[in-house]
Amino acid sequence: MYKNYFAIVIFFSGVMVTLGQSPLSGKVLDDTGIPMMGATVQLQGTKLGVVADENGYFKFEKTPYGNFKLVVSSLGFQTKTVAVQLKRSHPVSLTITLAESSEQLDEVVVRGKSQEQQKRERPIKIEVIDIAKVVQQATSLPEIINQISGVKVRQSSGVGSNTTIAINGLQGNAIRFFKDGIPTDYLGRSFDLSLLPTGNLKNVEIYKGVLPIALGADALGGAVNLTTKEKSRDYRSASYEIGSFNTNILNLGVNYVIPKTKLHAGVTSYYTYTDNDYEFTSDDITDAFGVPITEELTRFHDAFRARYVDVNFGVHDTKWADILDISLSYFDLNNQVQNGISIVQPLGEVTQAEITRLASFRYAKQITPKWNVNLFLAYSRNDTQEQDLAEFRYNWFGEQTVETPSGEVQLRDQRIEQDNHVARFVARYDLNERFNIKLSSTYNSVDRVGTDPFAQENFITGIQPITIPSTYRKIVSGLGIGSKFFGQKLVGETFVKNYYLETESASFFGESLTEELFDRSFGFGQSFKYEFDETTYVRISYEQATRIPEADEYFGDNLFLLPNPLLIPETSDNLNVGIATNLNKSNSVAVEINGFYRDTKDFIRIFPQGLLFSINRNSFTQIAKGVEMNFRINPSESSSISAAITYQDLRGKDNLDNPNLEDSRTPNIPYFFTNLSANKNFLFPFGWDLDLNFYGNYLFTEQYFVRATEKSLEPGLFEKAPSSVTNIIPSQHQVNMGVTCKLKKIPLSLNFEVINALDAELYDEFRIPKPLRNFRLKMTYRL
Amino acid sequence: MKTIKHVLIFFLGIGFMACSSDDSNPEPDNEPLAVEDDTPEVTCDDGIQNGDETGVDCGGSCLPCDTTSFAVFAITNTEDGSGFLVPYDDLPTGEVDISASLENGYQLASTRFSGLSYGNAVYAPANTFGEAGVQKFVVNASGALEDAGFLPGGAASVGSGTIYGIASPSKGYYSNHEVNPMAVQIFDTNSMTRTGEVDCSAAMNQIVANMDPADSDRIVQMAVGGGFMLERDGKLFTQMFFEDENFEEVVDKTFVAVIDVASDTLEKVIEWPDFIRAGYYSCINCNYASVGDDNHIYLSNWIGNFTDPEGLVFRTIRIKSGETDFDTEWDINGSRDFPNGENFFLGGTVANGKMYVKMFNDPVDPTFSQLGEKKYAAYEIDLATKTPRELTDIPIGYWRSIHGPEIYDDKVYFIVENSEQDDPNDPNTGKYYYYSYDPNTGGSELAITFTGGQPQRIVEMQN
Repeated sequence: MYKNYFAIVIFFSGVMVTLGQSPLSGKVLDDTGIPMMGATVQLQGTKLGVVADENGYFKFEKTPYGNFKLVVSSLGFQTKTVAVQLKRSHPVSLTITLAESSEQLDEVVVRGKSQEQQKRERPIKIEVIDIAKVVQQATSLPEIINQISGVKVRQSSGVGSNTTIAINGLQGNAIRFFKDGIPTDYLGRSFDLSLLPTGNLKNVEIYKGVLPIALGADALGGAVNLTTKEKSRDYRSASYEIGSFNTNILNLGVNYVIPKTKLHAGVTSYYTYTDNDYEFTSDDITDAFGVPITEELTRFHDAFRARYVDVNFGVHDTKWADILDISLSYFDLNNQVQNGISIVQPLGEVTQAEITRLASFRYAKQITPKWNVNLFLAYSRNDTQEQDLAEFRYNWFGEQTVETPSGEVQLRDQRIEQDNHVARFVARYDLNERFNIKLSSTYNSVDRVGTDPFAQENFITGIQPITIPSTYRKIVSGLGIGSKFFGQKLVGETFVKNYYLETESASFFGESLTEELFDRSFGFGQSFKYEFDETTYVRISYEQATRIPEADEYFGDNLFLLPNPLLIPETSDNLNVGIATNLNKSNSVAVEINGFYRDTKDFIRIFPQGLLFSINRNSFTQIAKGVEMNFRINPSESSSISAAITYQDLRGKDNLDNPNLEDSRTPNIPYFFTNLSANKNFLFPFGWDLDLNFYGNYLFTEQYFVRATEKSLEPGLFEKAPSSVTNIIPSQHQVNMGVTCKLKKIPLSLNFEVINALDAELYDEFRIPKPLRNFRLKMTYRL
Repeated sequence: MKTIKHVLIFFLGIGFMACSSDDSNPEPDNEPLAVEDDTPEVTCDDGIQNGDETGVDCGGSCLPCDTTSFAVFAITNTEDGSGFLVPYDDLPTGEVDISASLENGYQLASTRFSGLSYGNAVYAPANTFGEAGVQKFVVNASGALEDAGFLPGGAASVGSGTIYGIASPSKGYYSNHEVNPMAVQIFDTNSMTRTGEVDCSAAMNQIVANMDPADSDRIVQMAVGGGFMLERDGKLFTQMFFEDENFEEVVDKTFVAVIDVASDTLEKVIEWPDFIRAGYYSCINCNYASVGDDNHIYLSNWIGNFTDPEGLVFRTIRIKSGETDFDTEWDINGSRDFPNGENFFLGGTVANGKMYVKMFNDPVDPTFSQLGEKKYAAYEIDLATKTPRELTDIPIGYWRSIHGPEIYDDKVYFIVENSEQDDPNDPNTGKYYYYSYDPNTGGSELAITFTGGQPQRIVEMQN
């Protein structure tokens, strides 16, 4: 009975990611054995009901104990009722087969909601990407996420280059990343969005605005939580992708449950290599004498390699642990750096390398039907190296030009050792059917020290700041009460949070060796969702939040980001309001509209510091207002069209240093962007056992200013900017399209994708040109 | 003493630009104006340009046209040093809101180091995206500034980066150490194209050969065309550098190249027995090197080698009119000549036998931690007695703009930045004052109050 027990889906959903043990789970199949996604499963006599996922699996978060009847139904199939006996510590797993119904369909169709749909409708604004739907595509995670309204992922150039994500107008470190609900700060670059394989992921959850207590972190703009597949189920997936610019990506994800035991073991691994030697043209580049270079140039020092392997093992569903998992990982990265923030000056020898080793421990247990606890501990060690030892400068033809005694950016041979510790505790207690209490506390520490024979000294102490140990301690704790009223139509969560910060980092200019910073503050929030009916709801959330800067913001990244030991946490008032409904009876047209308002004090932004460097600084107040809309149309079962539109108005307020910029737009953040995507499934003709899926995406980003510029000079939407304003990222149109071919008899699929099909000029935030039209081919095996 | 460099880097925000440029003559050679005729045409008041008029009812045989116009380099965002170059028909007076004129201006990613003017053009030390070089702007028919060409200065810089100077209406010089560190580049100011270079390598190699091997062996880079670049009477003067791995000069001497403009050849290299970074440290067009109204070239700075035992001290040396050698009979040394320990000056504009600077009005302690204090006063230094006199009716301010005083209409204009930026109740917040000092009367008055941006330098154009 335990063998097929799928109940411990630890990180099942956003808010209660780690909280639910399921004593009742199972699988719904049709009479040919095909999983029935969307089948509804109800526990008769209770208000409990769930929906089967894409694999036909279902589970109940919690159930009462006793004898019950389970009612399983799906459109076009005969409803089936199964008797079950539910006991404490006796999980039940069922396989239920539904026979096709010969009856005519009712006129009013009530569709089951997928897990993803359920998550979307939580009181806290959350978008969920079901990775199963896109895993066969070569589409990278940033491109997948870009299809969500209000969310913009920007990648500086090719594969492996840094990504930044903006959610509802906030970006950078205002957005927190989680893996299975755990903050990912300790993972180093191994967790870069552009590197992560999709094969071992289950969902990508995007939280907008208010974060649930269970995530226990400080964020202003929201969060991205990547949930991995359950450990209690066998799976195997492998993919190999080749792409333009000698890009090779290999992914492997295996989980194995030892038969007749509660032991599991798994391996997750990826390997990414690319030369990134794409061609581009730029109006900004001239030869040494100022003559514009109009011919195509090729990036020549941009190769990137990353390797990651994670081995995990543990037990699940025992008396003393619902899950206990130990994971050991190794990650390394080698990266050639082709440019700073300017495209004009190429770099020919600057390199970065990182090795991260980490160990983590995860434990979860439903102690009593009402008590659930979850503990996570991790240690990681990042060793990074930055080298800029070139004796010559380079031009865009890869030729050495002139001797340089000071390196290409700044002479350095820098090694940094960083130790990270994470501890997180989450507990939930269900008071009764209406109320539950959640407690969460997360501790992060970072200790860093480095060496660099060329690093400059503090001007008074004469000591190299890099050699002085820097420390960072952060504790974010939260207490929340969840509630349900009016027959579960009104769901809410009320919470308070406590933020604690202590840092000590090297002083670059002062007389003391280090600068210390201490901060403690409180925040609170409230979220509600009211469901009018199955498809229509309103949701509202408010939070007074604090965001504590991350260690990197204090310490710098030792390459282009300079340190700032005196950053203070930013605080904000966040309000999110959303409404969603279906527009027709058949529910094939749905619309969702969300608005947000955010007032952020001591707003932290990255400022360019010269042509190569940047630094995080507190700036004045920022007011962000925005509206985002999602339309989804399903003209038929096999096709869908969706459109996401975001308009956000982010403006500075109380800018004492520059009153002329009062109420001007926050620069370097797109303010209007849209995504239109369509996909269609075909059954391959001629009796071949093939599924074909064609898809396309069109992303539009309106022009935006690189630098803060007076409001009077702002052009309207689609208008030309005044000729005096020249530091602009032009409007961008990106079209990606692809086709996935899926074999029906073996779990193999093949995907071909064209990126930037229009060969349009695309830029990152510093006008670095991105690749023109390029291609990817991906083969995925998934079982 | 790398430490001192840090404090400078800190205060100057040196990162704003990797280059610098010439602090060349702020008073460009005036084009000859039309001479008033004894028998003016009667059409001089008909409101249209006719006859031999060069403008509407002016020029030719009418009264001379008002041929000057101005442009202000203004930082409109102090957080990243970006801003605009903004044109004005006349020298601004009274309250001037810079942001009201931006439509005619041109956005500059880096405005901290500003440009200079020559004839009807402004030459900025970086293009709109902040790339170092020589960026020419002219005012078009509709009164707006437009891009008139750009010459890159290259990423490499020795001394204080990419420097340029204009020698004649069609000829300029600049440095691009990426092209050739041991040459001064020549460019056509009309087409904004490089036309050649003045190779100085033979003379530089000879200087190295004459050095003590203990010094010459430490040279890791050498270059000409740093610090400053000034043309006077057909000769171009610019500094040479011979640096060790810490970017310090290997010998405590100031080397200046004298280039003959007509033949584009290096005429000679002159030496001063004390190294100063003439034209300031990484400051571009800051007026620390200038040609005075006496036609002498004055080279000033308080920075030499960071390892100098004398530390940072006000120093000025000069090349007299008609000569191409240093005036060995004259120099100013603050620690020798100034009675109250004044130091850390900005500028070096010379008129009527006086030098005008903004200067810290208190002795500075060795940690330089006071440099951010509101203690910068206007000074007039008598070049004969070498004594500084504080112009006390000009308010004390901070050191925010790194440019020195300028002379317009025979008056010296001092910028005063005295707002407490983090105090919303300070009436000076958002305001930048220019006080004009009249050397004839000895009086000063508030001349311009800028809002909507932080002016860095006003340049005067001849149309």
